[in-house]
Amino acid sequence: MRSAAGTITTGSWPRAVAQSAPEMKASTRVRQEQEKAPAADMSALDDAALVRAFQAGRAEAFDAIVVRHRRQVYLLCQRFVRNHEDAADLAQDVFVRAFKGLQRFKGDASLATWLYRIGVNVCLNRVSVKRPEPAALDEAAHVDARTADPLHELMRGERAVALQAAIEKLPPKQKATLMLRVYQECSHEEIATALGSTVGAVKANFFHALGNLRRILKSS
Amino acid sequence: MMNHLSPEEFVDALDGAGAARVSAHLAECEACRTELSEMRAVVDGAETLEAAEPSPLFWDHFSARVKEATARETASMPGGWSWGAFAWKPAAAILVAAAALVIGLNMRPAAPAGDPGFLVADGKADVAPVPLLEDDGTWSLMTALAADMEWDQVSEAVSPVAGTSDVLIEALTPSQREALARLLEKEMGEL
Repeated sequence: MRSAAGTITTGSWPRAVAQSAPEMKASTRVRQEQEKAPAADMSALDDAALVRAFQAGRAEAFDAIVVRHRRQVYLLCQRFVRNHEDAADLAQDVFVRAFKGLQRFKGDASLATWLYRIGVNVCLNRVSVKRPEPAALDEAAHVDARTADPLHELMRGERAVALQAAIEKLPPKQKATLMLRVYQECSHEEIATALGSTVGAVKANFFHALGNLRRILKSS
Repeated sequence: MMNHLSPEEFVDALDGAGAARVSAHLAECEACRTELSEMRAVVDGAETLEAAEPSPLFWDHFSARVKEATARETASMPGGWSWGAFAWKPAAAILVAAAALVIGLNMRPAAPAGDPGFLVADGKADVAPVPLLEDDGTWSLMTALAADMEWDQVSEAVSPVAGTSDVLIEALTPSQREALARLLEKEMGEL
């Protein structure tokens, strides 16, 4: 997965197993140095080091986590609720929940996947209470008339509105799978972790999501 | 009979990670090729949908909001622990206070009938040892509850300042209040 900081993060976390004593000491020393990093240097640490620093009592490590992941978490929420104010509230809720749970985070998944898991749960709970407003038809008319082919752009805009409306009609798990796969660029394994599911179920959900979108678009 | 691709194989083919059987099947099955092509068109269309990006100025504001919200959480978590973990302690403190009161009343020597006090004729106090009461479980309950409590909490419970009991009772859940009332009624009935 590509993080907001542009670095590749994987689902693997360093585990202090099968290490010789000198290696253990060296890695422990590095970790301790990282955990003592000044607040300004926190942004240089990777996610795993930030989590360790937070768990060691460095609350400012959480600020760096927020800065690194806020955009992706916000965009995930924005795609669910399609409203800036609600998306901002939900994204804030995601980070508050993460703050409360980070002491117990063991690193079985990447931090981003864990945040997405919280995000999907928060969004699905919210969406089940409050359905997002349907997209305004005016969105299709927001076409730059200076483009080479305004009619083509208009048709493309209409298709986009229809597709967005079709996505809103998907069952929650299919919608979450589509969001994480297409927009957050998660692997099937990461989606399975985020949704508490299996890779096979994720692929089946993705397949059915695409099939449902085709059906909805054809019928409209 | 030809086996068409399974949902999982379609998704793998979309990812370009299909096995040799998938490629071989697609080469000779037009239905699956069409299906795959339509799936790809939907994915391509979905990828063009852009989420509305907020103003660049929003992010600092957002971080400040999160910091403020987490500060409120920290304030409600003394010592980094969830206050919920300690929610039972006010109830336990009240129970300990009630148990201490009940035991104290039980252990008070009964005044002899017609005797105005404990002083005997020679002016010395009647210091005959009070026989130890059998532990009916109350003492064990009290010691077990007190074992996990800080001394400050115990002393506050046993020597409450004005209004402390009201505050502690306010902190109880309805079921805890019912349990306390039952315990007090039981103990008061035995006096």
